[in-house]
Amino acid sequence: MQQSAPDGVLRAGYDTGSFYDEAFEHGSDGGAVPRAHYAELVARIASMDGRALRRAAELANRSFLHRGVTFTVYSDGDQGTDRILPFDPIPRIVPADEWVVVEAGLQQRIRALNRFIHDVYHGQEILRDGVVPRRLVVLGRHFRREVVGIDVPDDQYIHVAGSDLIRGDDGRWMVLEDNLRTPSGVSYVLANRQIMTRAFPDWFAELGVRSVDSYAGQLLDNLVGLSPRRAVPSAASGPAVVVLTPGIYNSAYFEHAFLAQQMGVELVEGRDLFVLENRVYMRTTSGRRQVDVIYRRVDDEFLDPLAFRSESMLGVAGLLGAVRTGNVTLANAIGTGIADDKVLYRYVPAIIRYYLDEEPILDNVQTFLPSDPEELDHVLNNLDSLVVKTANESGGYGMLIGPVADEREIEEFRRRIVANPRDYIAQPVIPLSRHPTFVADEGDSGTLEGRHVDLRPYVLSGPDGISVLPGGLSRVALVRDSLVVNSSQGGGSKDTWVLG
Amino acid sequence: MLSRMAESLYWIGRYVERAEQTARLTEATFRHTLAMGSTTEAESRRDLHWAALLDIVGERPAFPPGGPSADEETVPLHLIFSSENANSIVECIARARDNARTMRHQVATEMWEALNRYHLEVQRPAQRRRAASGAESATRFCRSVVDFSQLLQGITDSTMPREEGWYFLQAGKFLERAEWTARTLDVNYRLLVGDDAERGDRFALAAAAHDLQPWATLLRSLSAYESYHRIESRGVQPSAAIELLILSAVLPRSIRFSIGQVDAALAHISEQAPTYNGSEPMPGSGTENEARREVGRLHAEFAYQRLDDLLDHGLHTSLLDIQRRCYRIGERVEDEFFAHRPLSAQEMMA
Repeated sequence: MQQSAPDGVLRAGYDTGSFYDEAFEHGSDGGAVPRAHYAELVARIASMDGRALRRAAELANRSFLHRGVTFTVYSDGDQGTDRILPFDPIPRIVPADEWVVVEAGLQQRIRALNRFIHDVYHGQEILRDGVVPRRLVVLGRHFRREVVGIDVPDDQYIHVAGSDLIRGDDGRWMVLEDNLRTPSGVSYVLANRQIMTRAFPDWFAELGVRSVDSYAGQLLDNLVGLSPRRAVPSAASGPAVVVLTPGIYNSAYFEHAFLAQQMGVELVEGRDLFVLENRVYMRTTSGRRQVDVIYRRVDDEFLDPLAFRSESMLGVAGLLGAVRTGNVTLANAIGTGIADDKVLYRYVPAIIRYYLDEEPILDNVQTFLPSDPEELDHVLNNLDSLVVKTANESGGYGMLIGPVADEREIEEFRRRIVANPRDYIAQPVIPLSRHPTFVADEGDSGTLEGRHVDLRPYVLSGPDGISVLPGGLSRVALVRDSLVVNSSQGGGSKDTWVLG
Repeated sequence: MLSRMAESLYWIGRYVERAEQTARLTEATFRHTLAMGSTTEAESRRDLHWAALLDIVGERPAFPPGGPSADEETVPLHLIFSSENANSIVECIARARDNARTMRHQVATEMWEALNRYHLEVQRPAQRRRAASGAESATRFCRSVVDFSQLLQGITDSTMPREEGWYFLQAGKFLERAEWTARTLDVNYRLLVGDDAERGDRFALAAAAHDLQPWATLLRSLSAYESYHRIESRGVQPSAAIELLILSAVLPRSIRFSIGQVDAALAHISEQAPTYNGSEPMPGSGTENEARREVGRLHAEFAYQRLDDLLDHGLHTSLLDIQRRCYRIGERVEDEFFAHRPLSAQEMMA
């Protein structure tokens, strides 16, 4: 360990524990030594006053609250409370050579999954070839038979994706899940970066951190490119792109507003739109204006009460008709959820081999499917050492973490798995990598301790190909020893630096 | 602009003005009633003033006969904090903030942050306990509401482009203000002249001149006390005060001035606002401009009216008529610009 300021956050050293630590490795004397790409940052942090770091974190959190960079948490009978995603001031670094692999792996994955979605809604060749069991697809909760046979521009379904990556105890990157419907969180990436550049302006240039500023511009370019009306009545106006939000009570509302603002397009709710003769219009103070592209953050089932859930107040009656006739483009397209189904996840490596004839660059986490009778036995016999996930839940809900669960919870899951094996998957517990994280002490300073992290990079697909934002949302389980990084369960976030 | 955005701005204007007016009147009522002393007679007169305040805000039904009494403890709490009162100050701030939130990508960050911060502050239970701990802290709280409203208006004034949205905000603010001034005058007038009103407004106003203190309070609560002296160059006269608050063309809280601002805002909206790129008329919508016609007519009438005309007509009747017409203007604005109405089957087919 190098010199550490007497009141610095590393004054008491750092314990990597028995995990893969992102920033430190074991030195020859058994102590923790910064990895090469962290050396510069660790030296700076070590020489800083711990109180300064704490102030930076507190300022950031207060600024998020005042600016409304918040998500809404609902509990029973509650109106919902605005919470910030707690910000940790210690950034995570991904060196350029590692990022190249992550980037290529994600591009490969999205390319294959996009082909898969097109296929299941058209020829279904992969099902006929028996690579993916037909029943898993057509009985999947997110399979939308309503869009079978409908063509979308450039056969492009996944315009925005946010796959979750983790690293186990060997430091290898793995994909934990693919989020292909309405992934959220990118606004925190941009907000975290903004706060960090304000708090520590000189760190960036000196370390060669890649910028994340291009996200909204790239997204807008891609969306404009999806417009079905190439010739729009008034040349000055261009195609009308809108962001469709469920409204201010949605937990990701801030993000919807933020993206609309960054792109300079309207943020609309379902009630702002109506469909006339298979065209979508928005209501404005000077009449109606046709809408060409909808970046929608409303789930499939709520998009059109005439086609899906009839009680939905969030959607637009007749929207599916407008999509079918090609008068409007949705991003993401309807039906992408079939490809991020937790059960089908197991088949993604096979999907990549099938369509691309390539070996997957990024590994999956080993996954057992109780719907397979042989695997069911293995799962039931090892519940106390597995993680069981409900196939259709997200946000860390509906999960069993075997090693920390009590007998009653295990029996409850056993009963549920036997009753509905298709609804569950099981995975070994991955000891997620850890990252030094600021932990406040009882005084006015703090220390660094290892906390488990994951990474959600954001992937945009457009006419010019698939681009991965160089950065991403590093979520961190702020509770000591916790493996759950979800924002609804005590997670926080850090800025993620990809080096150029 | 998107109809819903216009509507949000219009309601931000209304809610913030409503919160400010409620705060001003609560503060004024405290000042006025505390000066009355503590005799039994003063006690009951005090309660009359608090009950009048309930009439102004339309919250009398929250205090039915036989229920809790309307006094200097219950009324301020109801008007400031009650979540059962949809128009309490805290609720108005919350709804203005919610409206700003639905369009926060379109309002300046400073404006949104000012609203959000103040909302978070007044929601704090400690804030509530403190403000509920007596007349002095309650008035201090009311003062902070007025300060906040003025801060927000200052920020808006210096950050918001003078486009359609700005004029919707102004239309909401001034329409709300015109209605409030009319209601405040009406209720206060009846309270202050009492039974004398039966003998005619002219008699009642002359008789009311024996106690000028409440009229000075009335002027103060509408920020018009100093202007009154400057404009009128004489001591407070009930009839002159009423004339100023209704018909002054220059006083920012007079009814005429406020209606003039609504008129100007709607003129900008319908004449100067550029049509939205590539927009067409809504199916089934006419081209008539009812909201503007309505407000323009009222404004023009004020320009040629004198206090005598209002007195001939009966002051209470005149003020009621103004309130009704303000309400109608509001309805027309909503119909014409916010397009609440779902399309009928024929219109969909057209």
